[in-house]
Amino acid sequence: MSRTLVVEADLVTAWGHGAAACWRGLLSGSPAFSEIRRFDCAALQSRLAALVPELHPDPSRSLVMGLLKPLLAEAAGRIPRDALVLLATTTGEVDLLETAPADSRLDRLLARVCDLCQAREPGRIVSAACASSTAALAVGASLIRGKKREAVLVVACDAVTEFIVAGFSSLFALDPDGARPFDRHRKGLTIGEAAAFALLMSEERAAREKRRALGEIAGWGLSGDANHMTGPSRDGEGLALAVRQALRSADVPAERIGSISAHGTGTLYNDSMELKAFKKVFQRPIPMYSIKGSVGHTMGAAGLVETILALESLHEQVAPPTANLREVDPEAGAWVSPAPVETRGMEAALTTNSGFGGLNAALVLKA
Amino acid sequence: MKDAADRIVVSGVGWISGGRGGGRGRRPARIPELGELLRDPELFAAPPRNFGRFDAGSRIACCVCALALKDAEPGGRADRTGLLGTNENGCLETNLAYFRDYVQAGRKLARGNLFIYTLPSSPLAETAICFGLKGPVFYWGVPGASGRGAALAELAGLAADAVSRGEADGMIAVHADERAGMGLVLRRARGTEPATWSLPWVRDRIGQAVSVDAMANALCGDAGGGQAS
Repeated sequence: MSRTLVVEADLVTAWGHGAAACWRGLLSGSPAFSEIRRFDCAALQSRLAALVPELHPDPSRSLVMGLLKPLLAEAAGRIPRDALVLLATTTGEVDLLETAPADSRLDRLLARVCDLCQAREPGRIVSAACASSTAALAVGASLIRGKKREAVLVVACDAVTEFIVAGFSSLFALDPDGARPFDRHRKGLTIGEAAAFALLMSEERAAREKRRALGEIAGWGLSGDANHMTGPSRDGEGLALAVRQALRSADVPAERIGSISAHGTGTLYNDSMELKAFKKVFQRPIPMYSIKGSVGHTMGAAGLVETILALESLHEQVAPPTANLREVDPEAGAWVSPAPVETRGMEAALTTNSGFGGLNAALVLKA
Repeated sequence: MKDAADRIVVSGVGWISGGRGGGRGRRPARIPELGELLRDPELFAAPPRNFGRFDAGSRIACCVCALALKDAEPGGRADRTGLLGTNENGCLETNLAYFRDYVQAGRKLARGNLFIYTLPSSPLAETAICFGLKGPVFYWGVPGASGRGAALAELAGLAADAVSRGEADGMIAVHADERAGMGLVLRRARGTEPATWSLPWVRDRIGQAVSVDAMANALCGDAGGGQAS
């Protein structure tokens, strides 16, 4: 059995390019939300989104390609050509839907990504709603643990588009004042955009190539609520199942988890469901945070962005604050904090995501 | 030879093509409309909630899984059964349906009932809800696969690995789009089940061993609307 190491990773979020910029933004506890000007939001539920600075619509390319091109170009030469590319997204280049519908297909985006990476073979698309990139990391790690692959490149992206904001508006899922995960008065989510990649590699190959490990994907668990298309299970049992599976897969007991990066969208039902799930698995409160009050809900990219930042948290031995948190929901008391929390001695961290249809994914990470 | 417990077998098969639907337990093949399948108590304990609202891909995925689960022996559907799915076009059709409707409404009010099908995983989620499947659920796109069978065979391999690792008690691998679909139920082998049932081989309805690839292509037809058995 081979350990799965993360040997390269980078991201771009509303805090700009790089994990370091995003980490600093998270520690500030402030939201990186701004007003949407790409399309008319007058009839939609919220004008706010977590937008990447300097990313503007351009007829020559989609929004997500505007994020991915510089990110992957910067990494050129460090990504081996034999790495299997797993593309994780919910809607990809959906901003092309009106002008060139066929170009908005996910397989076209995957081909473009593989070209950017100079990949030797066609990659694969992994989609599990807002747990897409978490599921992709799980599949990538399983391919490496099973010795079917030595290297897997997980690429994740989603952008703020009229398609998405109108859709979430139709479900009344947006908070016009900005998402406040785990807040007593939370009202919904704020859409964000991001792109990220992580190169997963077997321990043996990483040693051969003298790669520095940023961390390890030690275990994973996926589950379905089998409950409702847009609402999570009320009792949290589906997510608890994924978390227990991830702990088993990592051979890490629950008491060794030092922090939890929760999905924490800021909707009433999601945050409540997550707390119920964690309380089923963990005997005592663990420092828990959501980054979505800061970088918004980046949909298919959320899991990978959160994994990269959870690895940063493991290295820094600090759980970042839950941004935009004003009055902690009593259900979340002793779990979340509006300030950073030291986690000295933390060996492992848990990160979880859930998506439409009740699809849950959990990862156990080690430094 | 591997112990039975280490081998993964295909225990059920279901397909729909050109309006025809079947499984090994349904021969000779009938030509049922999907509505007829819904009323079959052997397939659905009760008609799926909101089936009329489902997009075409979700309807096919749900019915294909019903046929495959029925084809699997009793007890084939465990609580921790998962569902992996693939198709050729992702969700382009449902994206267009939702966004056209939004534009025609003056870009003021989108319809949530159309928006929820704008994910490649939506048909899988509807199916998982319908059958209470609580194992792993995700979409796996295989661009450039040489036909539906190749994509389904790759998916079945992933599903088998998930069962082997103990991440699910059983898995369903399904290829479903708006016109046709095929699903396979996978689980651990029991006792002395014949090796021909192990992947990549399944038996067709006249007892010949065929590959998943060939079977899917024959049953679903690569051009869509091909002849059922």
